[in-house]
Amino acid sequence: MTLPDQEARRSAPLTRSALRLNQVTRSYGHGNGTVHALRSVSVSLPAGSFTSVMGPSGSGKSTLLRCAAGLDRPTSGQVFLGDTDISGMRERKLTILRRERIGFVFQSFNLVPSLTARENILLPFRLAGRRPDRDWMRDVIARTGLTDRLRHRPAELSGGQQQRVAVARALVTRPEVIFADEPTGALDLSSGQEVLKLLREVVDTTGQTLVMVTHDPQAASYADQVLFLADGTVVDAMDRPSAQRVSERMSRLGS
Amino acid sequence: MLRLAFQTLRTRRALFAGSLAAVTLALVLLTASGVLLESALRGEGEANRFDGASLVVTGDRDEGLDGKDHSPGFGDVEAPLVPRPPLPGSLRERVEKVDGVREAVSDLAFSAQISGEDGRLVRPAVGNRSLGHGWDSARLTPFRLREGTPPKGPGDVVVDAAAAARGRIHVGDRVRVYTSAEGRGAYRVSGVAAPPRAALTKDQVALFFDAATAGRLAPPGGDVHAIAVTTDAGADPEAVASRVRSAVGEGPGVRVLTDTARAEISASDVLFLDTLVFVVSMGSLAVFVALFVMASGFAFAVLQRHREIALLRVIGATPRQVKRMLGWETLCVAVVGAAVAVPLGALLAEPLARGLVDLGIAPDELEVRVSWPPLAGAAAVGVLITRLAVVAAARRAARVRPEEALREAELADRRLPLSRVLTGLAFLLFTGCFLFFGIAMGGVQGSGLAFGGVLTLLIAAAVLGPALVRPLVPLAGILLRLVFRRTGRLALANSAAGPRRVAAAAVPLILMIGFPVSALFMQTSQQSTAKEWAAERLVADDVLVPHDATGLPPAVAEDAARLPGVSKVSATSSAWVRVQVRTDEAESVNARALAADPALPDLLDLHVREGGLKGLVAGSAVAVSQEQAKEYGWRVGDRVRMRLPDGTLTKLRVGARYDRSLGFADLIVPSRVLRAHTPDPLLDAVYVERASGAEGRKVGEELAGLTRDWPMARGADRDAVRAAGAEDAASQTWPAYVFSALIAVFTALALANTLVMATLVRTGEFAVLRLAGATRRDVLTLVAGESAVVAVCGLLLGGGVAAVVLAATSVALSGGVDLAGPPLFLAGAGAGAVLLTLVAALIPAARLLRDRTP
Repeated sequence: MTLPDQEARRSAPLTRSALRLNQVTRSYGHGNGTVHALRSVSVSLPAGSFTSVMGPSGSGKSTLLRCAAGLDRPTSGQVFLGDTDISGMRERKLTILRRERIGFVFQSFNLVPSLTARENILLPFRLAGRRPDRDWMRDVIARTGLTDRLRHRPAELSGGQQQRVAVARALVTRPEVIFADEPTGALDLSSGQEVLKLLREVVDTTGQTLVMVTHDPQAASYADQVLFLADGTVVDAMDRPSAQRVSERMSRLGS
Repeated sequence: MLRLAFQTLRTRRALFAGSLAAVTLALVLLTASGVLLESALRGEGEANRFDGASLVVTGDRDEGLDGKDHSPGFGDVEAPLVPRPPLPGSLRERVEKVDGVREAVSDLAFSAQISGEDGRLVRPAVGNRSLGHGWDSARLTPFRLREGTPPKGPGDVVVDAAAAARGRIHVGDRVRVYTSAEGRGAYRVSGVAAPPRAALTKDQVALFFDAATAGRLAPPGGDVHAIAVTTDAGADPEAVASRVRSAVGEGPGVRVLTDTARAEISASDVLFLDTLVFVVSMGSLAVFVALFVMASGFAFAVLQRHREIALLRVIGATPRQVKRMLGWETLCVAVVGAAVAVPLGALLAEPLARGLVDLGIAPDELEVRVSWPPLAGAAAVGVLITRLAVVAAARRAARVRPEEALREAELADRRLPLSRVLTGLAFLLFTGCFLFFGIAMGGVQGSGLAFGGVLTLLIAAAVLGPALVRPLVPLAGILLRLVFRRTGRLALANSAAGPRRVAAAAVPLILMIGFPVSALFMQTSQQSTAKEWAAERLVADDVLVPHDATGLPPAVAEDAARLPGVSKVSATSSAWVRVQVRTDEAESVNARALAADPALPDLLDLHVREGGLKGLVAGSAVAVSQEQAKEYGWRVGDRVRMRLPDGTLTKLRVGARYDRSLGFADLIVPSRVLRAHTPDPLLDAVYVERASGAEGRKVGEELAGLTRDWPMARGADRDAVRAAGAEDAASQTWPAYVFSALIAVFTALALANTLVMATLVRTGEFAVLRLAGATRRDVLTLVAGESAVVAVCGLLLGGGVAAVVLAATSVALSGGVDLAGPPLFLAGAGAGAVLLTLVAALIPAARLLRDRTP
């Protein structure tokens, strides 16, 4: 792992990157009231990596996630998913791209309350009007341990189970990149760890790329690398993090 | 998408309950209206006095001035009420010779009234028509003698059994018969006759004279009312009819009817028209209100499901898919609604019909028959209106951005999107057009046009709701702080922070106040204006008007003129004339014209705006109301062609235009032109001026004596004329009350739905309040305070809508703002709205608090 700006100077194709941000700036408002949520951030994440994004509140980590996932448009700069520049895409194409190549897991309210677990998992296929890959689906469901929970509605599941349904849904389309926003934020300790282990295992066994925003050093320690954000820029990076080292680094950031 | 929509509906029933209820209720009403509409259309033309005849040859009311047929267009509601003109009696011989005709009878029908044992006029069971015929005509129904003999001499009369019973008239009695031709006549009752079914002639008293007497009493000129034909046994009436047609040369002017019921306008025909107007109004009102309620319901549901929609967008639903999902959801709502409502509506049609009959707005003959077209139509309308209602909500849902799913906080109220502001402004503009053109047009029609603005203004208020509510909240706050000291501030802050939530609840209230108040007060204001004008118009000291009768025989005016102490008398009568419209020969319409004799301008102030009444007095010119002149395209000085009731063609100059015609005539024709050419004219009113110096009490006694001689006349002085107007008015406003009640039900549904949804999502907020030390009572007071804000906003906006529209209708009518109406209704509507809001908010809140806090 190198510092992001060094990475940017190197030519891209050396390690195939699953996600690349090039000089991405995102600001809100204009004139004197302009808020710069991201200031010229360049990051490249190799395929099959698990990256945590950390930083104090207001550091821009959520904005980074939104821009990288195509939910928000950068004010300037480009975002590449694989070789596709998604920063200038029209809403419709972006939606279809999200459906096929990106997966999401959020802190809470991840599921459509009126659908069963199984229907929630299959929702991306239904939206795309495609048939799911049966074997892969069975695999994902087994991996997330949901085999006997498929007929339940979200309200009948525990928080950890709900989050596992969300992970299964994120995986089921075999996306290139999965984005997770505080996936353990609303869970108790053991359920949180269960979900993190699941995510780690997914990256290791399927080679999918995972980007996770979190403020929990323990959660961050599951990642291959941690990016530290402050004031809208990447101020540091850490390979093979441990919870101890991450919290030390965070306390220096003043969080 | 269909499955997703279906699942959502199944698990989130509460979200759609209000819309489902609204569409169901609307479709029940619409189905019932449709069934009744179809039944009423089928029922028009009930069997009547000609029931015993096979064919009837009559005059044709649709003949234009160009001699061609101008059958009324669709929606010409008055057209069936124009009586058929008379026929030359000479046609009978030609008809009689036609192959297959067994007998052809010339039917004479002239006004003939009879007074009973107590000296009072005898009326039929329905209405007050009373006609004389030749004994020949008896067999057309057929009337058969029950007692006595047919009329054999000039002094004999046969009375129909129903009338005889009502007036306690028996065979051998001496009776008085009042006709235009001979005034008062003395007759002996030679017999009593009855039709096979009393219903055939329930709307007329029938008197039969011998042929010579009938000829003498009937209008001169040899014209007959109709020629009734009975066919040979076994002959096909249609075939005979077509032969009769070629024999008499059917074309404009003459009609051969195989449906004999259509030969004469019956009281039921008139009532059927009332039924049509009522059910059409009810159906369209239900559709509009349902549309309104559902549109705001769907919009609110989308607001509540913001996060869920954002989540779908993140997972990969395109905006179109989101729209489609809502489309399917609403389709399910419509289908479920229709499945429940259509059969229910069909079942409801019968009791509704009975209700209308009891209220006197539908005839007894209204027979409900359920057929599939109205049912299918209602179901289709249901789908259509739910689709239409969801358009705005679906657009908003499609605009939900996926990143909103990432936000943990409740979505803050944003400013109104530009498209919504523009839509609102567009509807304001439409309203402006309605009001402007209504005022520019003026008169009753202009007033009606301006009233059209109420719908667009209501829509504008609904669309711009949140923006309109924002400035009103502080206003409501002043009141709130007075009533709820402790929680008032919080309630106000909550309301101010969520103008959309306030608006969503206030919109149904705007409708509940705005529409009924506008509709009722427009009617009552119009009536009060008409009454005022009628009183102002009256210069005469006394008026004689018909009482329990269609009109007064002309002899009444002659008798009045001879009374001592009376210096001047003027009488009016009215008749349908065919008048040329614009300068086009081919275009002409049936118009109800008032025949005025030369003294009229001295006894009535017509409020002439242009031209003068010299021509009218001289018998060479007509006067026309401003409004009608505009519609006909007539200017003062134009010469217009018209056909008088007896068929005479004439051309008269337009001499004057007058206004304030509401409740009065639209066209005034000199009596020496119109009355002279009206077969059997009856007077509408006789205006009397007392000689200067005449003793008031004495003239009054003389007039009272006159009304004893003429029992169909009633005397009234100026004050009594005003009072009579008021009585009439009160009986015409009840449909407005029915519709108000209907809207209130819809509003209650919408309010309950919105407020229940809005309250249920506040579980967390209430819990925080309770933890912070608020008692259950405090929380309920808070909810009550918020409801009060909603109610105040709804009342102010609804009142505003009504005020603007009513002011415009009044300006259009009279040039000034002159409103009148029952203040109790206003108070009731306001109190009802406040009560509804409080109940709809407090019940779910109380349940929530009970469930969550042991």
